[in-house]
Amino acid sequence: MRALEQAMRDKARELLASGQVRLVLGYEAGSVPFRTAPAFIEAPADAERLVWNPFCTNNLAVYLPAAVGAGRVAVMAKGCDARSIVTLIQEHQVPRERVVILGVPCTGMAETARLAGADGSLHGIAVTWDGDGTLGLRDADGERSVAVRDVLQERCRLCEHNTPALTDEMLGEAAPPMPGAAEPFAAVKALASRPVEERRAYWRAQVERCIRCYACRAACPACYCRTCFMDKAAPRWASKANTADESWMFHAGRAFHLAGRCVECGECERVCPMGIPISALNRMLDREVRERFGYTAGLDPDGVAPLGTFRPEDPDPAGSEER
Amino acid sequence: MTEDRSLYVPNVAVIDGIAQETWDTKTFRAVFTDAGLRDTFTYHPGQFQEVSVFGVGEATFCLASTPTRAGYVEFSAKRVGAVTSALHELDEGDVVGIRGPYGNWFPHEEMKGKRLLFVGGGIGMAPLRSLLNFCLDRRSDYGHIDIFYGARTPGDLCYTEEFEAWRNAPDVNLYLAVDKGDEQWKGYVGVIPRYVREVAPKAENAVAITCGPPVMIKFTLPELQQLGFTDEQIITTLEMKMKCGVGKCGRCNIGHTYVCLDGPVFTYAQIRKLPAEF
Amino acid sequence: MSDQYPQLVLPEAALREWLGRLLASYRLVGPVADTEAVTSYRPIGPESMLRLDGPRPTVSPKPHLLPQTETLFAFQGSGPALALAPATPDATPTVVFGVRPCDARALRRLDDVFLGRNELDIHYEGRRRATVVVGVACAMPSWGCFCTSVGGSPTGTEGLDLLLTDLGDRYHVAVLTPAGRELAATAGMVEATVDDAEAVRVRHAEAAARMPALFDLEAAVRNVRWEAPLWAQVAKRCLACGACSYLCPTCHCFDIQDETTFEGGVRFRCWDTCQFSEFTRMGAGHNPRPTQTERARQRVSHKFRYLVDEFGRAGCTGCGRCVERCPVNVDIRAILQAFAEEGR
Repeated sequence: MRALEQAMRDKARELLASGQVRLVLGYEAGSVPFRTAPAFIEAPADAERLVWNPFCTNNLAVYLPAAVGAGRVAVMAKGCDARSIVTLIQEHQVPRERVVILGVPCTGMAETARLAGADGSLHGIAVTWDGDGTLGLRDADGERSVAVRDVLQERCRLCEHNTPALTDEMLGEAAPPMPGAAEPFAAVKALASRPVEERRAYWRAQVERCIRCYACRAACPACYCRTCFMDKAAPRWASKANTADESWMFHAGRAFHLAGRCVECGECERVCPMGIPISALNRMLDREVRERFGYTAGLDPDGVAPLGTFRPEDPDPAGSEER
Repeated sequence: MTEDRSLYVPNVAVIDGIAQETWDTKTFRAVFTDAGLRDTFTYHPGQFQEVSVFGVGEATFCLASTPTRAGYVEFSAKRVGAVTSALHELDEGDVVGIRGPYGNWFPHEEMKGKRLLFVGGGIGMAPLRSLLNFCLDRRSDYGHIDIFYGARTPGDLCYTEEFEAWRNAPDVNLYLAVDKGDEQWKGYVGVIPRYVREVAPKAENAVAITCGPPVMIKFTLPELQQLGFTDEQIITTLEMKMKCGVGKCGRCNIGHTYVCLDGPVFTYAQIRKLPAEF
Repeated sequence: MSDQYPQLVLPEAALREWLGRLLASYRLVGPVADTEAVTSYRPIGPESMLRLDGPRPTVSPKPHLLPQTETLFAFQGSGPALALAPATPDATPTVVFGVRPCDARALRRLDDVFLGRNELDIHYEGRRRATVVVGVACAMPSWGCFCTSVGGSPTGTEGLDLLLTDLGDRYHVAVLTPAGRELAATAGMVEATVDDAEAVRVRHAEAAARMPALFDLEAAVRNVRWEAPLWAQVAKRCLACGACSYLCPTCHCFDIQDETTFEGGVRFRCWDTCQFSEFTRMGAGHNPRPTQTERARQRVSHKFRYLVDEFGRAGCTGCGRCVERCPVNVDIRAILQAFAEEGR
């Protein structure tokens, strides 16, 4: 993976120096060893800032619609990021010729909370990565190693497309499949099979905690509406009051707007300060779209999301099996 | 207001007059339902109110009436958003909520004995109208008055019913201008800054009060400075998005300055010290 | 700690009983789990599983002084028959238990705005006057914490009525105010011994040693300026969400909105943030802060310049929540460090 980091830097430098792109989106060192930050590289010399490690979690596609306005942009794209880019291309938010997709084969991002020692704090922790599958940790508890595979973010563990589908160039070899890729919807299947009253109570309890910070919406590349339905004054679809009803309006509404477009990158859930399982809600609908329409978001730039179009042979929900 | 009354609860007022000024601007006359308040309510020209349509929301409007004519308040609203659209749907007899008056005001005490130069554009004339009528009601307190008022077209001029009264008041000159005239328009066609330059009102012992679209202010200021007006002699009123109106909700600041507390009236000398974020 | 107030000790086993006694006269709120990872201040009782140790809670007690959604008044009817029913300020005697020193210190910043600047906000005042704040000293920082860099301390007493320090099998209880003394009297506490005091001193020193100051606050504040290129850099990655503002214990900006029901409606205030793009946008479309560059500048300048000039204290107590929860690792400590080091 060190080779991958070097490939990123070399490619970025090359694309910027030759003038093929005016901007490279990638990752750079964060303010602590277990975070990275989105990097905006414009000068070839700054390509040295780019990094690759199990903390490169952000979905960089979220910056594309605004960035491509000023010229061509190259993006370091993991599998999830590449799928988001495909969605943006399908929906005409990013012209295909304005983005250079640099494919990054990914073996998953670490769940930082799981790196904490017995005291539950990441304060002062030192983290090193062997460039392969192991993290070295040093904190008040002493030194220890942990396999990245054992501390994966759940959305990575379930990822079915960790080798990006659509790219202009792959920066490394295809990655082995993720451990949970065979059953990506196992948890949501279990959730969906519970009685509706139980599910209603469950989701109400989850969204009751929502503080309407909209971090989920802000981090999502598929949420690019200039004025979100939640912010419209006329007609006013929902109130700014953060009652469970209004917050459910937001989460359910957003989930429906994403149905068939969500690529399960899981950023929404990662950024939520209140621990709401937002990605599970999106997965429930993605599973339905997959089963009813045989469609997976973000794989075919010429595809159209099922809820964005109508065909006479679409399955008719009336008369379908009772849920 | 007493200690235990919430500053966010408005007084209720009945709309008892609606004047259609232009295709998208109306002036509303409101009378407080509380009889005691009706008689005692007072304010200064330049201050603003938070006016609300119950169920829709609150918005900020400067007072367009003068406190020298008691018993009612007036404000003018251009239909641009949810609250102003709801206001435009109101009929006489409907009620609104009014909180205020808030903010500072035009320094009318310091203006006594001076020549006054009003330069207004479009709906920016609203706060100027408050001060103008105030001064006309106390005519002998003030010197010569020049009023420059311009709009894009004749149909965009507000307060047309009052032009006669202004023009005929003692020692007052009224200069109306439009960017683009029509068949009936016999007055000046051109932008206000040029008109001001042509007429060249005197700056000595004078105060200039201006309010209007940013482009008008931008080009009027150099003209005033050319005529000899110092930064302390030029006064304007700023508009910002506001909510509480009393310095709590954190929305209307320009750098250190809260427009609802330190404004909305500022001299140009004060504005020069503000960061360019308004 | 003040000499005029007692220093007491409460056995850990007696904590629940104390909470039970408090519940007889107070609404009780304390730090409990929302999920394994998320701790918030919720209503508690003697049986609650309190999270008093470990790093500070995910969410501050701010919602209990300044609720995210708060009705100002209700209205009913129309025309001259319209009736307004102002909300009565909530003055229920309340104990907020287990407050960390950073969050307690933040209360003074909220007081500055709601009790101090210009008119009195009776909604905030009702709650504030009726609330007793029981603090617990921090033994260990969360990774974003930086209270000592902004004049605070993991064992500070500013804004507290009582400060508890965990000594293992017992809590040292520092009484700090008359209200705190009244509260402490409801439990069977004994006077702290010299050994207890020493144990507290050691614990507090250990906690402070874990939190060296990261930057010179005075220098940072002095150098915060309008034209800094830093703002545009931060703006590039900032997603304009409200996570930093809503978790911040000193952020107080709010919106006022109306909501209708079949019978009438309510006017309420709700949290808002200068980070949202619509925050300063006017009805006709003009926005004085049109890009994230202006909004990043506003956030940092407000906290570390305007409030310092107005009240003499920064609008930040170093709780570190914004640092930890920012989706894109905008780290205010790095920003302040950069300003502090300018011109050095």
